[in-house]
Amino acid sequence: MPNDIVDVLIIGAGASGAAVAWGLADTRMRIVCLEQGDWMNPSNYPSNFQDWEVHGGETTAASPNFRSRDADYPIDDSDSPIAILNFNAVGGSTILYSAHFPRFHPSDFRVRSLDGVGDDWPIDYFDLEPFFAQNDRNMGVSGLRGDPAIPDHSPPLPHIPLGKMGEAMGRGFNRLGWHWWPSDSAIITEPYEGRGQCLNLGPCNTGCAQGAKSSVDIAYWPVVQRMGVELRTNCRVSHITVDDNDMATGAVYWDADGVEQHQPAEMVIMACNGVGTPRLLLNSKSSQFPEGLANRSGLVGKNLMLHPWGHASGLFAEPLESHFGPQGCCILSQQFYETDLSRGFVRGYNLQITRGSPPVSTARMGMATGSIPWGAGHHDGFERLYDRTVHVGVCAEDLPEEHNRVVLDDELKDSNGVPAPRIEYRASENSLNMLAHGTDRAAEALEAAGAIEVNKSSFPMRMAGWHLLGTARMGSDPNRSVVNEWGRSHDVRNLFIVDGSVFVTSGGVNPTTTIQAVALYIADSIKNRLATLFD
Amino acid sequence: MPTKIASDVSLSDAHYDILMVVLDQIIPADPGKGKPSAAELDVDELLRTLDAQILSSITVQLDLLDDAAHAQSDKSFVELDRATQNEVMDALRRNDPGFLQRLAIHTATMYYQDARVMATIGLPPRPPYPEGYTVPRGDLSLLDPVKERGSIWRRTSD
Repeated sequence: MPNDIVDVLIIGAGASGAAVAWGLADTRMRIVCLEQGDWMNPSNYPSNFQDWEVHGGETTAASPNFRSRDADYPIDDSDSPIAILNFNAVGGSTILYSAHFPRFHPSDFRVRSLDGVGDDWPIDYFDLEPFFAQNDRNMGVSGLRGDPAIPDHSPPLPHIPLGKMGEAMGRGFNRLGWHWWPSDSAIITEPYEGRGQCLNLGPCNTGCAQGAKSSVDIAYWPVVQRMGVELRTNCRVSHITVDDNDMATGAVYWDADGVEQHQPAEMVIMACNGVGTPRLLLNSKSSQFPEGLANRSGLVGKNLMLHPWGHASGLFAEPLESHFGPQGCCILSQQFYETDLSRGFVRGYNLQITRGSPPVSTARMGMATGSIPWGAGHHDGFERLYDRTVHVGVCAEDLPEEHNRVVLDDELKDSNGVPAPRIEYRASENSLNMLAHGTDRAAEALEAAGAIEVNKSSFPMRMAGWHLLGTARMGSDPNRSVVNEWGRSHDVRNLFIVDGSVFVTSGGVNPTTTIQAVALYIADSIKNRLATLFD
Repeated sequence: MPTKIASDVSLSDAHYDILMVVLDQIIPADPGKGKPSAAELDVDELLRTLDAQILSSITVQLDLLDDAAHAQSDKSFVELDRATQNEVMDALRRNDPGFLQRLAIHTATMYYQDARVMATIGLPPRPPYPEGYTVPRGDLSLLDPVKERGSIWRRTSD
């Protein structure tokens, strides 16, 4: 039996899909979301088990190529120094993200005007400010008001605990006269909206058993479903359909029973992230759109930005209890976020100070590198390392370049036979100069904090491609962008994109809060234009 | 007669005795710190969780240790003094580092999940969830110099 037509069809139930669904739910339109994955069961996350560090749970691999769950699609990232990481389920990649939640800066929206690189966004920080605040309330964000590196805002919950290691690093930054601040974190530090507060379990990046980390399966979807949005899981979309008038008519998908279906819709919203969305558009070819849907600009899939990542770790003489607390959230430094050309690059980066290594990881790494010996010296070697390590990540702003792109692979397909994406990506000289500077500054900060040994990793780190941005960029010129300033396709007037694909630039911070603010902003723009939406 | 079964691999008593020595060489006891030897772990569990590649070669590798012991001193590996056992293992590591290195890392993995060992490093013998841990909120007066320097975000013309 054919599906009834719905008002709004959202594809993808991750960070942006959940936010746009929430933003539209009060219209009382009939809204359906198709998600290729299923609900996760937090009681299966590794922190439920004593062997949590090596627990063979289904959430422990960040690459879909290694994970290979039924919900995953393969990604050929062999032509990129950075592997593509994601998660496919209700909640998307927020299931595994660290929940480090800094906002973009005002300058991130004006890089052409300020620095002569990239392009300006057609919107700015202050357009998004109310949606950042709304998203903070919806997700449950912890932080400390007054950060001088960002326009004033007031996170709804108290900041994440610093612990001894956060204090030690803060003293180090103070010795250098550098900025630092407790990072905004999408982790609730007090009971909030029926959810229990953070218990400092540690391994946020394999899923939060407590539900304190604000993955959107916890923070958004139960609310959105109560507001009347229908969420269909295990439904994989193969392509978007269009009529002769260049209007989207719905999507073809395989349902949970493996039956091919067509879901008609008045409006289609893409929320599949910066790789999944261009993949689906490129797979949606038709006589009107032979190069892929909404791709008359030729820019679908191009300008991929990944945030090349650097890293340094420090070993301290005194125990810092450093592996307790939310793994990826403690403090940040944005001392080098804004452009200073004397550094040898344009734009900047964020330093993300993260917790130390837990015991099994300490032992495995130490024995693999020889710093923890076999035999009589083993215990002293372990004690020298355990609870004394601190990690600093360097998140470098990646500028848009058309040769960095998502294309369809000629041979690789998902389990339904849909062509898989292939990544063509090179880190720019500017990014590499930025990472060299950032890694040196990370090491300097660790030394200032008292580290007795510092190790700098080679960069860009391979297993760091979480932030998938720029592949269907926003702009006012249909020849230079895929969607307009409120997320509507220039070519298909009832097709919207709300995920990181629409980003014009990448900023130098983890993008999830900005992705969600953009999705809420687009939902609000849609509501404000309902009478003339498709004109 | 096989006495120990690990997956589809059987260890004789002799193999088992050699393995005990190897584990004790990798992580020996330290009574002063209250640390048990890795040979005191649940060895059947350790064998059950070994990856297939190590497991498939374990009897061959343990035999190599014993053969080397006999060649060196006309004693079995188990009968050697501790220092000589260590020398024999080092020789095997030099010739074929894969087996013993992987066994050592797996042993450490099991060791630091053992309740007795967790207690010696200040960890309660349980999963992180549901009880969790306490982390100090931190001294926010450390931020005073950051506040004193004032706003650093870059203004845009609009």
